[in-house]
Amino acid sequence: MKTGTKKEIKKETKEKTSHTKTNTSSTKNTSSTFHPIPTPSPSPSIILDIENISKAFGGVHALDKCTFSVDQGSLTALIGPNGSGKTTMFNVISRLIQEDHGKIILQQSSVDKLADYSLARQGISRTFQQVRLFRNLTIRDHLEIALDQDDESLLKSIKYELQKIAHAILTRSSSRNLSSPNPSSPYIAPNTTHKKINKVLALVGLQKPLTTYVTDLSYGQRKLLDLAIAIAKPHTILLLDEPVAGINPQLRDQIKAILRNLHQQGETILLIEHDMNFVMGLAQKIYVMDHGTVIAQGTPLQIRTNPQVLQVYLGE
Amino acid sequence: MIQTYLIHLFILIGIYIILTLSLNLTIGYSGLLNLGHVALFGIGAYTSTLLVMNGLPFLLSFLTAGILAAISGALLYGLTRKLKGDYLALATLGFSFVIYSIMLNWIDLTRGPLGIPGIPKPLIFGLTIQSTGVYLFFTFIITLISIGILTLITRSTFGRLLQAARDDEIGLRVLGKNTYALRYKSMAIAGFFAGIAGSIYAHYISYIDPSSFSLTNLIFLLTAVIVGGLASVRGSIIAPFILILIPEALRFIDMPSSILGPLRQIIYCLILLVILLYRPRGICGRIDLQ
Repeated sequence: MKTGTKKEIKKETKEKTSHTKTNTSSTKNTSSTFHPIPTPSPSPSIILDIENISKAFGGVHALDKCTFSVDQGSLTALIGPNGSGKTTMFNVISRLIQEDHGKIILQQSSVDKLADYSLARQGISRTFQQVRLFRNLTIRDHLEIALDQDDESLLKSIKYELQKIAHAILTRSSSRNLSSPNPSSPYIAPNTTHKKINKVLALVGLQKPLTTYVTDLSYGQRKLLDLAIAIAKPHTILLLDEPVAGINPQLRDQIKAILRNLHQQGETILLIEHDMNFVMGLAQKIYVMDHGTVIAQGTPLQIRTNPQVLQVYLGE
Repeated sequence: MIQTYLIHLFILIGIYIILTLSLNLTIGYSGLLNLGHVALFGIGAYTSTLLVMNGLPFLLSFLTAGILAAISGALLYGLTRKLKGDYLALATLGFSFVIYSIMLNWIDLTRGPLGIPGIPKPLIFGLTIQSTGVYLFFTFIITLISIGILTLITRSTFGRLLQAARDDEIGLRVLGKNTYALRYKSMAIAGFFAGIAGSIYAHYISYIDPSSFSLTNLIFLLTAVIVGGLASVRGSIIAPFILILIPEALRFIDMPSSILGPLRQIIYCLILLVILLYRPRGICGRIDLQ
């Protein structure tokens, strides 16, 4: 009975803590007579907080009370063997899959009720293990879509297109008159967008003409473009799902350098990777997942010597 | 005589260009296998006819026809938005059959299989378009405006987003784009143009019945989109010329009408087969038929 009461207190405290963190109106177990133990608010440096996420597909528990957090400006890695639930976790974080239980808190706000696209607008930018590009669009199209967060308005879109036509006509007539382009042209060339595109392509080292269709890119180049899109999209955290899967060692080193560079610039990165060696030389903090739950966490050195992790990876 | 006949053909071509182009916006650009387009065409035709015959000015009826078809298109997408591929095709085909049944069975409103005869010619700013020559000019202007607007839409950033959603919906959603909203708009726009095409058709032919908006017409429209090429404005303009003019050549061959009808269908079938075998992307298409 006494033990039971202690457990209840713990449970109540945990729920209340999560309530405080998210500012949501969760009413679970509010009828309990136990007073919650005051807990400090979460560290402001935590940008993404995953609390007890569970997800089952039929009888298979892909995620089982998975809990971890990502600090602002950190490079955190989520590792684990095949089927440990890493990608499912990413899909839950980006709302492509709805969790059964648990909470996701992004920048002190619960994102439970957000649709996938709304969450993306809140600042989550992600890549997929298998690159998801638009096969009939060019490199420029991809990056413009990622950069422009206001391109869904039909009227604005048509207005912009008309301005482009007007600009083209005015420029042509100006060049016929051998004078400089008409300054009164209503169309403002998106120089800033162009600069941003060039900058992000330089950052990832993708040297292809902007008009290249993605079907004309190699697998490695597609991986780089995928990374460039995620970087270009306005974000607060980057989720990278196996960014070096299936690519040659040279490109692998290149991507490692890109990630290190991004981290030095203050980016918050959460990445999934199979390869321990890749992660060891890169991440500040590592979470190890197995059977849908986090079994270990720590610095690369701590993880390397953790017997539980060695058992999961080596079966010893 | 031949002049009137040619004018008639060009008016039909104009109407079918608007229909093909708007259907291509949903199938080719948005990736929605929408088989409900012919129903939206019918909604436009009946709306305009009934409103004009009840005393509303033509221009107002014409626009209402487009708006009602646009709302129907958006509603159709709302009901089927979770469906993809074959399932979406079946659901939208079901919508076509439902609308066809309403046209056929709501006798008080549509006169059912008897159809509505004597649809007046358009009266615009006090002038009635009586001659086929002027009607051709009117159709030409509306077709030109439709091509202009749809070209602008497909070339715009909005059109690019539609294409991105067609290629990878999840890939676009994780970039923060609401693909449902994009496709609602796409279906509404396509519906609007199908509706106004229906209005032009009804006031030109001056008689409509449910058979004008049946499966046969839908097959013709789909053939036009495939022959012209998915996601191609140019293809959607060229295809109605080919599909209307080539079978018309049969009229000049001395043949009994019992053979002419089936022969026309055989020609459509042959054109489609040749295109699918030798030019699977259509005449001007940029994307593969999947």
